[in-house]
Amino acid sequence: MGKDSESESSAFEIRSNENIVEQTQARIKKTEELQKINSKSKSHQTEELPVYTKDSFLQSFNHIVKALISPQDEEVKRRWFKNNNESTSEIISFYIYRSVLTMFYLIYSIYALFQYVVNKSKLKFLSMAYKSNEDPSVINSDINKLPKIPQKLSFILNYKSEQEEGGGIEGLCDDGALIAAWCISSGISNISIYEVNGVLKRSVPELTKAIFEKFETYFGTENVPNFLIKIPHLNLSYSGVDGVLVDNSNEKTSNNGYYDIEISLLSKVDGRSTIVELTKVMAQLTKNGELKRSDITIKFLDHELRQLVGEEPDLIIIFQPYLDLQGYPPWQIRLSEMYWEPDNDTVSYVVFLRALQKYSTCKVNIGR
Amino acid sequence: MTDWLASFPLTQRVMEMGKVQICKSLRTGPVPQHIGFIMDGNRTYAKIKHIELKEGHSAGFESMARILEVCYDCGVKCASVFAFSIENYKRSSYEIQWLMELAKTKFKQVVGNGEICEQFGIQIRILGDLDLVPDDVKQVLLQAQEITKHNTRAVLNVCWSYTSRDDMTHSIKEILHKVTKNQLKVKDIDEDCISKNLYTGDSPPLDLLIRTSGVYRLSDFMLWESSKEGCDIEILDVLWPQFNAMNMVWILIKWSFSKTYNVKNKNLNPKATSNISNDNSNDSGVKKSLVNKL
Repeated sequence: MGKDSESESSAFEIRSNENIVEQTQARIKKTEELQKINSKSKSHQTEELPVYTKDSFLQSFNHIVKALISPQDEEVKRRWFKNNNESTSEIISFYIYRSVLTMFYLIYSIYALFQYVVNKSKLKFLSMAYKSNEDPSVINSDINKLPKIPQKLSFILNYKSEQEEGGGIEGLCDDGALIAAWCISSGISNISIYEVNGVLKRSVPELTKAIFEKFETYFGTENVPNFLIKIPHLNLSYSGVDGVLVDNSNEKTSNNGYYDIEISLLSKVDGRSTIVELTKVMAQLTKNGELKRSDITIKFLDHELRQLVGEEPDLIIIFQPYLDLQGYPPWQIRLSEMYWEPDNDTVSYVVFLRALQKYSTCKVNIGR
Repeated sequence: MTDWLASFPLTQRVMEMGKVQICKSLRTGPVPQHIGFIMDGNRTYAKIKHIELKEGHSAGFESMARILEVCYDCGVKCASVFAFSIENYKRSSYEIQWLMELAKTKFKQVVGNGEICEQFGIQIRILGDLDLVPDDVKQVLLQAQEITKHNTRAVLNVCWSYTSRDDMTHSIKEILHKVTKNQLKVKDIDEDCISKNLYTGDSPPLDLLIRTSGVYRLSDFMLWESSKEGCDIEILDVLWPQFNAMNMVWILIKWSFSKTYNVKNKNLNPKATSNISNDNSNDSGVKKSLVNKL
């Protein structure tokens, strides 16, 4: 009797769970469409994407000198000059301290330059030592040496400007395809790729083309692995079976085919905005009395966000010179190991391998 | 050698002077408004130094006091320290008891003479689920919060029995509560709204997160805040008790350096920034917050 009611209530819970997920997805889709209409109604400007750029050292040096001469930062001013009457002695002391700080900047930039040279040459040397040779068996033997490998892997990629080498949409898709090929070779079947502005999500055809090409060079035209590309926030999925692209966005359930790799594409909207949308749906439900406030627990939210965004990755590999999560879904990074190579901004096999090597030596002990 | 030098009374004074001057010069550039600390490595430190576990924790506390002094001298408005995670309740009862005891004595000092806080004008806030904390400790914590609440110079957030997922859940619950009470409309819920209802809602946005002892994980600390674009995360290989003022100054210089030219970078590329706000044009709340920031 007791058991029965228990199972009933849990069944109810699951049903309401699905309800929430569906409603949230519907909401996200709606906002997405609105956004599209908005962007269409705006004049047909050539869309320029915010590009991931880096300064040369000469430029940054120039900025430092400029900053010394005119440190017109309101925040700084307010901090330094307590009242608005700037006495001459105060101004003089400000500039004295400011020049001391500039000296620190210079020392730091010299140190950073030194570090840059060291790191770059280290990477160069390592990339000569470890080569994938575009051969799965080489990668496989590299990975097999490791005591443990991550089950769920995530990558953060950056869209680079088209003028740069390996930039543009083509470069981005090529990087994505490269990653997929490495992961299949090392036996990882569940990955997600994060790109802030959703460029990758909008260029699925290009991505699949790049993946097919990459897989052919890696595994031969005879046995191209099957893959599944998912866009969780639009609830879309595309699969490549036997070298042919299948669009199963309209099918409710995917065909029970076996996929060698599942790639989910994430962007900024999967982060904070998804949590906001979920909160809105739950708020509506509580207002209608369909959901109790006490039902909302960490476990409950975890379940919802897993369905909406995806599982928590074991390892996040970041192909940029510093650690900045760029709005990565906050719920999913609780215990994820993060790896990035200082002063590296290319997607290269060495970084991938070193990340996995590092991961294999880490042990997670929650709280202890 | 350094120990021998430090034994002179004059060197101490010179060092102290130097530190103050360095902090003053750092104030003339951009300074992070809110820094988070994950104080990792106290137990490893105790193991390496062959001292008792509790002495390791005490050393960690002293290190924290040193670092916070530098931060506040440089003009940091708010510091958050991860003192005790909800997951830490899994540790041995002996250690939990000791940590609680340590917190009690230290906060009693604050309550007792209020010296440290008076000197710096620091407001202490306790963040976390205090229902899990034993009553006597809870009382002392709340007392410390009460006594320092009029201080305005800087804020110290002590995260005690805190995890970020718990924090986010708490925030969402608060919002739902407000919605049912008709204080908030469903369509007004946005990112800012969730940020405001987090435990750190009253603090400025997190600019820098520092983790020691070379672990490349966030361990459920400030996930919402630190995953935002523009929040730097620094991971250091030193253990927390070995983390000294010099390390801290170096990190602040690094942060300040990168901001000095990143700000310029934005000004040079107005197109790029305007595009970011276009991206969110459907969401008025997000747009508003972006406009404010820009």
